Order: sequence, then structure tokens, then C-alpha cells
Amino acid sequence: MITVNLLPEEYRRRAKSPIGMIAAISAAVLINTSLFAYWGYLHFGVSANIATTRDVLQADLSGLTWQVDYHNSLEAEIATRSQREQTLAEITKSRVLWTKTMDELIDVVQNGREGVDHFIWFNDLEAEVKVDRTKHGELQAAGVSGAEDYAQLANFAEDLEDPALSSLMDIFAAPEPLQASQERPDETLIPSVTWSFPLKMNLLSPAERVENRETAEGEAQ
Amino acid sequence: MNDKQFWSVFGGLTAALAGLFGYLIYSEHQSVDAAEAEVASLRDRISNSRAIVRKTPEVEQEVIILREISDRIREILPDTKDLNNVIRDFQEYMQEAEVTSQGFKPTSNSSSRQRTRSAFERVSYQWELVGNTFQFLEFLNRIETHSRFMAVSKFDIRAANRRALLDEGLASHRIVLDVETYKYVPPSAKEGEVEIRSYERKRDLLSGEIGLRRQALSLQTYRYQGARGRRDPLIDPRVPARVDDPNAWTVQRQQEEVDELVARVEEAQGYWAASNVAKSVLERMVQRSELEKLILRLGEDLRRIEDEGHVTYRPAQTRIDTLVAEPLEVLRLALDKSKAIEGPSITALQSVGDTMVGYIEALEYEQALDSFDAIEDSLALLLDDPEREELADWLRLLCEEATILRDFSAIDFKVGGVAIIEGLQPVIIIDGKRRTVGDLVAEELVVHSVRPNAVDFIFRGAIVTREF
Repeated sequence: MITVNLLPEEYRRRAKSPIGMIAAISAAVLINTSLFAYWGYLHFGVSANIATTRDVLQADLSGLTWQVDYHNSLEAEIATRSQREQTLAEITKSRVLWTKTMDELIDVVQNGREGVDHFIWFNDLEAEVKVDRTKHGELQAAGVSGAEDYAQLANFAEDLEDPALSSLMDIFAAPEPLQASQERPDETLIPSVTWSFPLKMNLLSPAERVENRETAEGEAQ
Repeated sequence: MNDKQFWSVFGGLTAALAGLFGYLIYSEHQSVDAAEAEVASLRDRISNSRAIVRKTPEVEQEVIILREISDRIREILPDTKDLNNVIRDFQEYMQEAEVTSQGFKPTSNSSSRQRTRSAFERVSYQWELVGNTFQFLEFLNRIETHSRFMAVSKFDIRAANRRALLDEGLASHRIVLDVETYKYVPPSAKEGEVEIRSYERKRDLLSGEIGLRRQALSLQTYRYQGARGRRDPLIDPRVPARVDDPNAWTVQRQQEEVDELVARVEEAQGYWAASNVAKSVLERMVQRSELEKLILRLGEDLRRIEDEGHVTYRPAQTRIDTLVAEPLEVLRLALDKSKAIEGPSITALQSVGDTMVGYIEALEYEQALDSFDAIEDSLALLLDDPEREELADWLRLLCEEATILRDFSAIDFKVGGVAIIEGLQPVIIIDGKRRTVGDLVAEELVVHSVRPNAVDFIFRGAIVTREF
């Protein structure tokens, strides 16, 4: 369509500067330039800065990696080697030094004065260490008291528990209650009257034995 | 292009550009966030790594210590059963402890006692032994102090019966003993070693700690000191009834007396053995002299005990016969025999004389006299041999000389000054007093002559000099 202005010259509208256009173009340029500038700041400023930091940290980490590997290898070696040590500790914990135990039992027997305290001997003696949660072993003996006075058995039982005479109670629970029966007197021997009695002492658990031993060692020091 | 078209194109382009930049900004934000997350992760990893690395010196020390004590751990808890060596050791221990073995066998590992999931394998042996309680304890002690870990899991002692004891005189209890040892079973076969820089230097710095850890590895042991005069608790200690002697010795007393005699016989045997391997004649004579005295006293004590009839306990009697009377007789005969053929030889006498001269020249008079004392008793045996008697006289002379010199050197006095004037008696100041020739200075000590730097005395018939 063609538009023809038929108005006389003096009535025609004079041509004006396109301010709206200029403003629109300026605004468009300003917005896009700002966006571009912000992107440039992010890309060349922030991002590059982070990348540099990351590279530096990577280098640091690379320097530490072999040290960590070395540390881990050492830890692995410790784990392997200490297993044997732990195993040793495990098996030694449950050991009973029977030489010491028997030696002390002999001391207690020997401590009795014939005719006064007690006069004891054994017809047999049996000891066993058990690896069980509830039963840890025991010492059993068929004992004989060479005295008419059966109260001497109580003296012997007291001596067994006397820490001044032995450390038997560090590894054993108290002896089981006394019981005895009189044997037929033999007049050809002195003393002629004897009492037979069973002696039974249960071993404490390995943990209790170790604890008692350490306590005793601590007190000794 | 009209306005409308222009504005359309313009608007479209502007929006497209803005959209593009928006997208770019959004993407950039995404990548910045990702990079920041990565940086944070790196920082964490570095921080953790540094924390780990800070502990490396301690871990390194632990590894060094474990390596250095590993030989000891392996000795206690080896990788191998090595049962043949264990059996050899047991035989040696039995001989030392004087118990006899009547058999041994491995016991089953499949019992409930065998733990299947552990890092060790239990190896058990059962031994049948014969011996008395103290011999058994001696043997037990050797097992429990073995360098390899061993544990006695069970034992059963059946006391020798009274009849056998009376017949044999020795207690032969029957003992069944279960001994366990262990073999370490590593969970993995690999036990590689990491290379540690400057290992030797670091190890040397840790030597104290290594020593402590080694010490801590020592197994708990007990120092068994033998019977110590105690009675065997598995022997019936009753003695035969003796109505005639209310003061009869108890079994314990009898055992103690016999133990003491046995110890003294062993001491005498020690003197005899020492005299036979003595490096010098003097030493041999000293040993024989002690032996002679000991045999004499032992003989008297033995006779007294036998006469009084105190030892009635059969095992004690047997021990007196076998361990006291018989060895004592053997020693006595050996000593008499050596005396009959001997008396000190010419070489021995010459050697003693030379030794005495050496001591006298070194002013060690007591040692010279000790040398003479050791041989003096035997000099009486030489009366029929002129050649050796001559040497004996020389030794007696040396003894006299050493005695005089010893006593003279023990006299203490101070010489103050000397005045020697021609034609006059020389004068000497002793202990602040003026003395001249012929004056008595102390008991048996008379001034004989005075010289510028010495004074001679007459002391017990000999002239002795004191220089000053």
C-alpha cells in the first residue's frame, strides 16, 4: 500500500530525531554488553582462578600421594607382624606355670609341723588346664593327713589360702569344702591314724589369673 | 524495511544475543561450581593425607621395632613344628633332671581343645615318666623355661607305693605329662618389607625401646631351686613305730640330715676334681688339704648318725648308703693312694721354693708363708729321701726368713736423723729418742749399725735393714 500525504507544506509534520530507536538500541547494546562482560568475568576471572587453585592443589596432592602410600604400606606391615605378637599374647595368657604351683604346694605341705599344724602327703596328684568358657581346669589330689586330730585338715586348708605362704590363690579358687574319712589304723607306723581326703582346687579364668599376677607384681614393686 | 520490520529484527537479535550470553553465564556458573567442589574435595584429601603423613614417623618406628624383635618372636612362636629338635631337647632335659621316660606319643589335634580358627596350630605330645616329685619339677621347669613357648596342659602323678619305696629306697612315681607347643600359621603368606630410608640410623636411635620390647617378650618363667631339704609330698612319710626311742628323728629331720651329708660329699668331690685339674702344685695341695679335713669331719658325722640309729626312714637310709658312705669311701681310698705314692716331688718342692723366693723379693711375706703352709704337712713324709729333705730344709729356712721379715716389717717406728762422726759412736734418732749401736729399740730389736741412709738391726738373730 502506498500512502500519499496531500496536506499543504505548512501543515505537514516536520521530521523528528528517532529518540525511541536510539534508546532501544542503546538499551539492547547495554544489556548485551553487560551480559558479555559478566560472562567474561566468570570465564576469565573466577573460573581461571579456581582452575589455578585446583592445579596447585593437585600438585600438592600428587606430592603427598606417595607418602600416604608409604604410610599405608607400613601400616600393612605392622598389621602382619603384630599378628604374631598378638597370637603369642593369646597363647601365653592361658599358660599355668606348674613348676611354681607345685613348688608352692610343696612349701605349704612342708610348712606343717608334724603333730602340731598338719602332716600331709598325697597318693596321687592330677592337674589340667582347660580351654573352656566356664571350666578353666583344676588340680586334684588324693590327700592323706597323718594325724588323729582331723582338725589338722582345716589347718592345711587355711595354709593353702594363706598369701604369706604361697600365691596359690592367685590362680586357684578356694579349695572345695573339706571332707575326709578315717583309714584303718596301722600300729606299725607313726602316726598310726590317718585321714584320707580329696583335694580339689579349680583354676581361675586366664583373665583373672593375669589380673592377679599383675596385681601381685605391682605390689611387689 | 519499514519500522515494524526493523523493530522485529532488532528485537529478535537483541533477545538472541541476550539468550546466548545468559546461557554462557549459566554454563560458566555450572563449571565454576563443579571446580569449586573439586577444589574443596582436593583440600579435604590433602588435609587427610597430611594428617596421615604426620603419623608416619611413629608408624615407621613401630615397624622398625617389630622388625628388630621379630627374630625373638619367631624363636618363641616359630613357623615350623620342628618336633625332632623338641624331642632331642626333652631327652637332654630328662637326663639333666634324672627322670626316665617310658614312652611318648603325639596326641590328637582334633580334640575339642584344638582351635581351628586361630593363627596357631597346637602340637601336643604325651610323655610317660618315672621319677620323684623333685626330679619331675626339675624337668617341668626346663620345659617351662624353654626358648620356644611350651605349656604343660595336663599331668598325672601316681605315687610310688610304700612297698616299692622300701624295697628300692628311691621314689619312682609314675607320671603322665601332656606338653603342648605351637606353630604359628600366618593368615597370609606375604610378609613383605617396606624400604625405610636411613634404617640403620633410625634403628640405632630406637635401641632403648627395642631392648624394652624384647624384654617384654620374655615369657613368664619361674626359678626352681630344687628340693631344698623338703620332703617329697607324694611319699608316705611315716616311720616305723619305735617304742624304745621317743626322741627318734622325724622323716623331715632325717631327710634334712641326709641332704646336708650329701651336699658335703659333693663339696668333697668338688675338691678332689679341682685338685686333679689344678694348674699348680700349690693349688693342688691346697685342694687336697681341704679335702682331707672334709673327709675326716664327714666320716665322724656319718659314724655318729649310724651309731645313734637315727635314720630309720628307708629312702633316707638308701641315700646315705649310695650318696654318702660309698662315695666317701671311694674318695678316702683315692686320697690315701695318692699320698702313698707321692709326698711332694723334687719339682714340686723346687717350685714352692721358687715361689716363696719370688714372694719374699716382692715383700709379700704372707703369700710366701701361705705357700709354705700348703706343703708343710707333707714335708714329714720326706725324711727317708735326703735329696728332697735338703729341699725341705731350704723351704723351712725360707719360711723362717719370711716370718722374720713379716714381723720386722710390722714394727712401726720413725727415724728422725743420723749423726755419724769419725771416732765416735754413730747416733740415730728413732721415734724422737737418741739411739746408738747396741740399744734396744723394741722387743727383740737391737741397733746393729748405722749408715747414712739405712740402719741395720739385729732381730731374732738375723740382721735386717730399714732404709730411710
